[in-house]
Amino acid sequence: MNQTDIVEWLRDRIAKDLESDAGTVDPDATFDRLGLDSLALLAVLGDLAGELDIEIETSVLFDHPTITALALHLADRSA
Amino acid sequence: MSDSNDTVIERVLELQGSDPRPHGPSRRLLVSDPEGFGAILHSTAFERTDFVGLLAGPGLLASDGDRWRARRRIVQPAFPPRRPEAHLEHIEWAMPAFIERLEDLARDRRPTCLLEEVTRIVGRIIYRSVFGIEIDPDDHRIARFEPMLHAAGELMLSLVSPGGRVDGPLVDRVRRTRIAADEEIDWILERRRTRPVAGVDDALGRLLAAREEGLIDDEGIRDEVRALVLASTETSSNSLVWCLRLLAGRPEIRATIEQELDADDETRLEAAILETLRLYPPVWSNERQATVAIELANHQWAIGDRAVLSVYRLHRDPALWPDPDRFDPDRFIDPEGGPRRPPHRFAYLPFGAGRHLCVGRHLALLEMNRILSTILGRFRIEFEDPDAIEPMLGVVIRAATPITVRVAGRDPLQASEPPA
Repeated sequence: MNQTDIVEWLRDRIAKDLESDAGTVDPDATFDRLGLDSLALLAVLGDLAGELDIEIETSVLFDHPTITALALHLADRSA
Repeated sequence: MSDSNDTVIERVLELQGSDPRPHGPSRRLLVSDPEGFGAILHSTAFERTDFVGLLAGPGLLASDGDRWRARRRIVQPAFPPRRPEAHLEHIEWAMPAFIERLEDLARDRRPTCLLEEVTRIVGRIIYRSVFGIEIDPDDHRIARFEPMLHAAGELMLSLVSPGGRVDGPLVDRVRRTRIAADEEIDWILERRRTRPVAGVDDALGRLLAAREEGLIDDEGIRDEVRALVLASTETSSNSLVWCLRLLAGRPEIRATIEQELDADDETRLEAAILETLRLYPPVWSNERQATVAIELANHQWAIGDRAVLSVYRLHRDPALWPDPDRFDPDRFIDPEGGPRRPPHRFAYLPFGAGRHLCVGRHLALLEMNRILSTILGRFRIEFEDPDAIEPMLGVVIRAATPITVRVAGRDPLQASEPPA
């Protein structure tokens, strides 16, 4: 997946968690602001690691706290 | 001579030998000096990180600000700092069944798991003193929380370890085990409603009264109960095991404690408990996050920077504690008699400091005192293989595998035996 695909995957997945519409999930808001607690976020990241078949360091929680930043980081890495 | 297990020292040094994450954004900087501990734990510029909330939900333990203040006001009066003896009744209530069980084990010479034995009595004390309900001696209900505690510990370690990976199945396990723990909490709530112990001023009773006043909802109560379990069970039971293990390696100290106990003197027992909590502080590490840019504890902190407060390293700082890996209860005894203070106001923090100073510290110390004086006064704990105990870091420093011991009665014949 490229960066755009990862952004869309994350918005869909997080929208499901929040029981809202993917269009309302701001990719530039911090996960915290989106209303996602850390455990829910870790579950999302666990699913994403499975989806992309890569390992994701727990430190991304602190380094890339938005959907856009995380997607950029992961797209870079898997490229 | 070192009385400590090298594996755990190596692991902590690997994790906390230097700044875990020296560069931004979101730096994680190590704090292990007493001035730094005091400054950060008492600063309003630093708050709990989200780690603790991950473990048990967003209760008193995990919160700062308004929620912390509101929840603390509810729970704190059930742990009166000036009347620690308020808890004694619950400890004494649980003791006869504990003694009976140890007597059975001594008679049969049957091997048993030490951690499980002490967890049983700690569980019964906590259910009665904190939740206001009585459970039968054979009903090992506290064990129903263990899967959650162990999963939470693994998750915490994956978050604080450099290079830790997101582990989807582990996250699922944390969620599943929390659901299982909540089933036990429902049982506790039901029992508290139908068969409360009369006249007990317990934390759960205060939480339920607060619910009546609209100060907390059902989910809030569950968060608090999970946090109370997290804070009160593995912490105490593992500390009891470490203390007995340290004493087994130092029979001369154990013999002195036994002699003192025979003369109703608890000076050295109390010191041995404090010394155990120095070497194996249950909460071995803590984190705080800067909410404003501030200069403190020799660092310029940016918003979001994390302070990694290594209690383990603080307690083993050779500048504060000479020969720090040595088990020496006399550090806590004044040569003139009476207890001796730590070398610095913030050199010794097994219960933390500041807003999150452990509300149950008096209960924990009294419980350890009564359980250990019972064991040391009446029994001998013989470790099958003392060196096989593998400490592992989780929520607390705990033993990774069951600890097999045999119990023997401490009769005068055995008491006069020379130390092995």
